Amino acid sequence: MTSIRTHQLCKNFGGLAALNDIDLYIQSGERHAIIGPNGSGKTTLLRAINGELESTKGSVFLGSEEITNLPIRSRAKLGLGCTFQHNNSFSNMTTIENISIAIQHRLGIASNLFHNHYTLTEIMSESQHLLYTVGLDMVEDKIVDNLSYGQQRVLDVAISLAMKPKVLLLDEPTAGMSILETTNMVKLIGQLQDTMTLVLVEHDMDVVFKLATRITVLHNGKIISKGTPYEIRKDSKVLDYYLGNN
Amino acid sequence: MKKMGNVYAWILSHNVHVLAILFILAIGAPLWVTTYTISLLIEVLIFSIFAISLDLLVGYTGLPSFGHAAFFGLGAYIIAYISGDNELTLGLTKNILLTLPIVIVGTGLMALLLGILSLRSDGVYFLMITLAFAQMLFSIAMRWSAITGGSDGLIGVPRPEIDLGLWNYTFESRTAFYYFVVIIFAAILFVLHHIVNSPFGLALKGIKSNQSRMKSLGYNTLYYKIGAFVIAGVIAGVSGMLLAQFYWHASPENLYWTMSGQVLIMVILGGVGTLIGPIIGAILMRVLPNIMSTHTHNWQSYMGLILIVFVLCAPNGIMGILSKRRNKDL
Repeated sequence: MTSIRTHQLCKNFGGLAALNDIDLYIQSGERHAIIGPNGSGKTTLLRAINGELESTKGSVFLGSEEITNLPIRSRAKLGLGCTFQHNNSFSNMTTIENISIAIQHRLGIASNLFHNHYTLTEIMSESQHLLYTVGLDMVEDKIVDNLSYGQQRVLDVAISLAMKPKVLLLDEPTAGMSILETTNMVKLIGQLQDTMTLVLVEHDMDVVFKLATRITVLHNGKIISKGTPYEIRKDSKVLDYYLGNN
Repeated sequence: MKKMGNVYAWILSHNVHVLAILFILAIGAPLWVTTYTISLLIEVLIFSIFAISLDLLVGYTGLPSFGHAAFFGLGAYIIAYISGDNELTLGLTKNILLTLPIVIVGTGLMALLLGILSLRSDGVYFLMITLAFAQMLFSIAMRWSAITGGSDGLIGVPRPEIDLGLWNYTFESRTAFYYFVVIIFAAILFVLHHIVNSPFGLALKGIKSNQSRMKSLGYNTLYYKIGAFVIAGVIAGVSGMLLAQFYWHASPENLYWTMSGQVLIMVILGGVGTLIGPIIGAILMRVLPNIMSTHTHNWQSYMGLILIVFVLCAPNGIMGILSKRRNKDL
């Protein structure tokens, strides 16, 4: 069980303060959504937490460990998984290779030179099981480029799940999906074990209110409100800035 | 057309049988071909080894090395220095059981050093650093005559010998050396085939496909790239060693950028990331000039034209054309 904490986190792009003194505490096992209008700094915050972006000031903690200055791969090793706003899988490889590449690293056998990875049952059986769980078992031998957009989004999440992360950051997992695909994705995320801490950036408020146990609202790089979904729905500031009065 | 696709599909589904047939043909070749053809076959096999080693970098890991001749030439100079029979060289031994490990360690250490220095960069910067390094070795080979023999290179490289104390055999004749090269080629192809299908090989493909995602999965991609660079450098070194033993000569030309360019063309022409493609590329690049030069003096222009046509019409090389045909037929 691992929490995520940021302390006075700032990120400037030139003169623009994309993140301004963000103090965030996400408890272990929480389903935490970050919402806000376009350009409010949601994705920047996620990228500063996962290590893709270097923060200008402030610190990030994973559990009790400070990870502010660690590169992205070291954060991943500590159990921080992430998916991206745009599909970010291994597009010219097969679906099952996409999964096994994450599993073999977690099992510490990625440097193995002399075994055929297709014959390593520890990798293959776990990969097939995971693909079955997320509903991609029918396309395991297909090249990812030939999958539908929705399937690629699911695969992106599945690759991160294969790492068995302690904390998973999801950047708009349902963006661009059809209604049916969105329903399936919500079901998939809803079924994740609650030992995993989830941080979700999402535009679709239906998805947010179905999944999140707590919500943080950003506006112009600042936190304007945090609380339970019920509290956020009632918060007049949030209604003014983002959700609208209707 | 369909028939051709079917043949190709059959070859792919029976690759063990195909390999067995090719191996028998390779063993029997000296019985029915001319000595000139044997020489050509030896050259083709040596350049095939060189080309598949580069394919591990270009095709599997996505590292466009333009200085792969550095290791090819280094392998040639190391074997010339330790086994060569002239006043510049040490002439210690020609026992392959000792010389091969020395070539492997020598080229491996050099690849490790260059890998650590160059692999932090990507794309065209990596290409320029590898090119600069190979050209630096070329300059050393040309200028430091007291050690390298200058522009003449090192002559008197003997054919290899296996010496087990009680029994020894020298691959002195052309035919014996041909068999020696066939064995090394088969062993290297076997090892590389295993490597590209191993978890390590999958990690290399992942790096080529999406390096940033590999990092977000926790991979130290530099470590894998250095591993691939060292393996490729060692294999290129072994092919350079074989060429020196074949011509009895280590030449600075083996280090020159045109050699790096030539092997890169073999890989691109045949099809990157396939292992078989670069072998086909090596066959074409060594055999076509031989055929064309008997008919015309301008054969180099025609080779150039063929390359342009390939780059424009078949960016995935010959293997790309074949696999497209197969997909259409299936």
